Amino acid sequence: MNKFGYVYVASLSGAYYKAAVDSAISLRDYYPEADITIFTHEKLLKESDKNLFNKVFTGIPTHSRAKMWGMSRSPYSKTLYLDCDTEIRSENIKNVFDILEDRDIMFTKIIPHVSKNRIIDSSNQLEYHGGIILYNSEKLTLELINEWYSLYTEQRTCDWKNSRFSEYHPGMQRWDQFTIWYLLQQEKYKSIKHSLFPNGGHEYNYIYLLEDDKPDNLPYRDLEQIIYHYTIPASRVNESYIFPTPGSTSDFN
Amino acid sequence: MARQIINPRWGNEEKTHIVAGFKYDDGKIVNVSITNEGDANDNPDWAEIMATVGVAGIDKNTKDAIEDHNSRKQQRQEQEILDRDRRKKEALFNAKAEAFDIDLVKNSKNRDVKNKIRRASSITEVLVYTSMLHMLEDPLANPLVARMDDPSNSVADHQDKDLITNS
Repeated sequence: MNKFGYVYVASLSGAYYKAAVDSAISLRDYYPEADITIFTHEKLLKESDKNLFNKVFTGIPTHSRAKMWGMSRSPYSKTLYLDCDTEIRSENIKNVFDILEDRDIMFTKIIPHVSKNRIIDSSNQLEYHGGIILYNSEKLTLELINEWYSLYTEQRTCDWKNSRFSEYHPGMQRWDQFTIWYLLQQEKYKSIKHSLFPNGGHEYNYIYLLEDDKPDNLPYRDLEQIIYHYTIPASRVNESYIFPTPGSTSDFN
Repeated sequence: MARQIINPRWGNEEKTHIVAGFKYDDGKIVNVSITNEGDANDNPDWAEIMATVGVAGIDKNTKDAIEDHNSRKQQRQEQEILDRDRRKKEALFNAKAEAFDIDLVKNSKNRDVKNKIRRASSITEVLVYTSMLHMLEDPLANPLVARMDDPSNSVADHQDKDLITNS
């Protein structure tokens, strides 16, 4: 395993699959030689789309955060995970792996005025965005991502006040960014080299809300949009929602 | 049956009408209009409200009610703008998604025009650039593309096509 590649994970709704395909098309437009992998459900996969991807994995969990499940199974030594609702808009996408250097995992920075509920506790706020993630496939990195998935499941289903997370703001319960923050505080992962992309990496995660004509957006106005990150309308997601079927992979382990 | 007078406020600017609720023992609330005009000067409800709430109290209730009404009206208008904007964005999203469902668009190598479709800010723009791509690449619309499929075509033909499709 010595390749660098791009990973999409499309679970839960056909809308995410369609978005991943469209994003992969845009990636091919700007980087035709890109090595692209998709993790998705067999029932969503279209024969005509298979040529778009170098590798296709099915049998994934029907889970809102199947992304971590897929990420931990990346076939590459260096991976750029992209949310499905993204578009590639620049040839500079091919240089993204240079950024990682000797670090294990990197995130783009959450922009306060386009994000809600960032407060973890009186001295910490969420900083790492979960939409675009650059990482290597070192054993500990993959263990971290594995545990990110399993702990998130625990986090979502626990009684917050009586859980190991009780000291943190209950508004964190729904955010997987909190889960990774929590894990990175643990002794087990102290040696993980993690950081933000240079200058926050907003060009690699250009949130669509930054296009609004607002004063807060001025500093981002002229940024190159290497990866544009939009949001799929809820109606579109709901109309093609799929449900877990008995026997499907729903347990991470 | 005993009743309680709820939130009396002026029903007109002349302050000759009071609007209030009468809450009865059985929990039922009836909205009433009370006047002191003409023969109604001796209206016992009017007299009771004047004795218990007074003009200043009714003034305050009226001011609060108007502010509440205006606030709700503004919230409703803002929500309508948000809803309209959301519907517009959804329609634009769907138009782009449908454009990329078309094989010719999906498989086109003309990334510049595809990018125009992706970045379109209106449905009209989506349609214009989708049509443009068809004009450039659909053999029905562009005979040069059809000639490209013929292996006997000359180099000049290929150059023509490159000029057109590689913007």
